[in-house]
Amino acid sequence: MTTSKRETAWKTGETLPPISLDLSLRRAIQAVAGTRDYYPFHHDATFARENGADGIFFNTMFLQAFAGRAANEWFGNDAFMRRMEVAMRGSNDVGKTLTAEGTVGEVREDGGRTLVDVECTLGTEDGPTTGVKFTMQLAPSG
Amino acid sequence: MPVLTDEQRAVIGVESEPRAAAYPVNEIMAQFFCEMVEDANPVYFDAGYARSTWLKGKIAPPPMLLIWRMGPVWPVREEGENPVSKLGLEAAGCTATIAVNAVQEYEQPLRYGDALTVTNRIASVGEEKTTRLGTGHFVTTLDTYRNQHGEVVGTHSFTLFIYRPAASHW
Repeated sequence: MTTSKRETAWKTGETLPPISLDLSLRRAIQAVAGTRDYYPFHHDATFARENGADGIFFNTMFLQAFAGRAANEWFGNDAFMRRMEVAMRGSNDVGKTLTAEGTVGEVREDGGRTLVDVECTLGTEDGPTTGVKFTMQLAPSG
Repeated sequence: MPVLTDEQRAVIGVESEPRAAAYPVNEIMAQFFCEMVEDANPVYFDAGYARSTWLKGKIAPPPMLLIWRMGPVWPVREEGENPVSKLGLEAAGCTATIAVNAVQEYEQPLRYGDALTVTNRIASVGEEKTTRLGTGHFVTTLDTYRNQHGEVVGTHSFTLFIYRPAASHW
């Protein structure tokens, strides 16, 4: 967890340190409670298989939550998320480990705000599963 | 239905009536959300820390936007206008839905106690397509969230694939 502001400016192309989380069945149940998403794909393996999935997988809101956590660990607790796009490409399955990796994109000034665009990928042992693009507004300096 | 009907086309772009969120933006649900992904950011829960920042107080996790519109599981609420159900896809056998893409924009921080209202519209409906999962339609919805002052606090654009599950293939 970063609690202090970074002294040096972010630079395009910088690689951000990976952050991982185990996708246990217990966490899948937590995700149902934490997102209030009771769609059976996320808690009923039989339903999931009958509808073309391999089994229970984690939902969009969980992925948004994890990307949000990563974003603030990378850019500071009081950086503010302005935009996030999540593209589901593969399923995030129970039993895997989810890892967020990121690269700093454009760093720009916009009406007195410092904005950083980030290209992020969420993936498991199966490879990349989720493309995430987000924009953080950094805490004003000084 | 390989081609969209006139009835389906008529639903596209029509903004729903505002609907009040079932629960105010609240710290307890935010804690459950953060427990889920082990998010220890003090700006969500530590009032002293949060006041010391430019955000001038605690905020709710921005990515919770979609959660604030989830209704209670019980008792079942009158759903009111649901533009997606007006497409009639379920009657055509498209009983399963999977998320494809989600774009959230956050206009301002949400504060605990904010009472949100949501309007919703269908932004687009694709012609019928077949994927690994089955045959159905890509549908994009756009939710607009406003706070108790009538200010837009965020938007959520969701692209879903609503489909007839393929015959068992394993």
